[in-house]
Amino acid sequence: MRNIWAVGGFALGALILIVLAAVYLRSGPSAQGVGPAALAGSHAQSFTVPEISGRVASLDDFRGRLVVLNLWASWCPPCRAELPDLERLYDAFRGRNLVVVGVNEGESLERARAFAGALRLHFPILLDENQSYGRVYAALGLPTTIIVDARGTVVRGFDGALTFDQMKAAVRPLLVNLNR
Amino acid sequence: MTIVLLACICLIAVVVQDAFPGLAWYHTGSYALLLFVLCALLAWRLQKLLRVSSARDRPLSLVTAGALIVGAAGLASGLLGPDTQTYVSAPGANVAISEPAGMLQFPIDPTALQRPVAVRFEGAGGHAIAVPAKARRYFGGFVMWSVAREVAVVSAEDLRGRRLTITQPSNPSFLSPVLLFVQRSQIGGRTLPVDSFSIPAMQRTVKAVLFSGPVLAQMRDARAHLPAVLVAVEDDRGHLLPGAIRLIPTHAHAAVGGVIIGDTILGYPQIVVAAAPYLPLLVLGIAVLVAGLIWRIAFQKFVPLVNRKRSILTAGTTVE
Repeated sequence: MRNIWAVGGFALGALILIVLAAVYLRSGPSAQGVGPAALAGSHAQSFTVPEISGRVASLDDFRGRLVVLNLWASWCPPCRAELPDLERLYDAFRGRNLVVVGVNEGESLERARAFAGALRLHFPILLDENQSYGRVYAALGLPTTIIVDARGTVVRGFDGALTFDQMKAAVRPLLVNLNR
Repeated sequence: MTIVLLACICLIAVVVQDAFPGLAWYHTGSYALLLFVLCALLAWRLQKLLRVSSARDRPLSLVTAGALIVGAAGLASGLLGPDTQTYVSAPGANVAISEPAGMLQFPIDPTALQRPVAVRFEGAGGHAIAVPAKARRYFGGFVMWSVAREVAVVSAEDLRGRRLTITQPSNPSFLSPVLLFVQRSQIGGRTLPVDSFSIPAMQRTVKAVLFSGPVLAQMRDARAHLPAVLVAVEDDRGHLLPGAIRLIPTHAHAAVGGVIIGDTILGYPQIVVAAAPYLPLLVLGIAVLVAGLIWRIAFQKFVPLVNRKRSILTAGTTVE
């Protein structure tokens, strides 16, 4: 009888120590990364905001297509350099289930509209007055580009301006899968 | 009696981690030594009890074992658990944390800033919990709770009233118009929360100092005062612009240094994560301890009655 108690006590003690070590010594996913690239695989959050055309829209309105979401502002020189390439991408692929959505970060309708007009941009441009898109898409700077698949999942995120070739290389494999 | 006393001291020493979580003392040598000594004494008594193993002592063995489980849980959270961490982040930001492994998701909705909101924690295994205001939530060997901190939502417009982008180049959330005031600075003999933001379109950098209502009331010898942000506007070379220092009360706007700056001061949650005794073990330990105590009380109360009844019966048999 005495042995049963002793063995039971020892087994319970060992079990407790193992459980506690597992609970406290388990290390976490500290290498999550920062910035838009780290968002790959997560749900693409959407906010309803005004469009520069005067309507209201959200990212969810473009569900079912591959979305190239580009965050920009008129004061940002790399954005000014990149936006014409985004317009080219929009023109080249819009018949193939791709849409470019520009998101102006924190500026007035007047300023965003004038800037888009000067660059002859035709893709939809959302006006993110509260900078909500900028916050949830972990922008480290401007421009920031996020690629969202047809189901609303972030596929890739880029910090900084992309060239037209880089944009094409990023969307082509995704469009092949989407239009298959 | 000594065993019950030791068990109770051990229980209190560990449960205090749940009652007052996050104290640095739990991770110090003195706390570990206290629990270690208690556990060693309990283990020594348990070993003696098991050696004797009389029916009278079995309940005390359970009490001791329960206290030892509780003690082990407390010792582990103190020795193996990480130091208490406070996570402050911008609305909408996701913060990866390693202990416990997972992601803290801070709510984005700007209107949510005006009411108590929950921060969501999603563990590495996919299990998620919400940490609402004024409540504690357990996750494995950790306890989390939310503490409101004052933040300021700022806006900037040019002198024609056209909205301008706010950026925070020195903060993790670059495109956030919410100042978190993580830094503190000594100003006029007071330690005050400070932050800064940029208005790139105007090549302006704005230094901001948060004055809470009570601090302003104290400074102005008033009963109550609205909180405010003191702003100082600099050009792109870091030179303070002439006359560009202004105290802007919450929900107000003011033209300073060629821009119109507005602020709204609100409460927003920050999350404190502290190591805590692993709850299932704590519950198991307490259950075993309480079971032992009940058994002990029942033994003391009913065994003499049974013995008396037995002796009466035995006496009756003898008479016959």
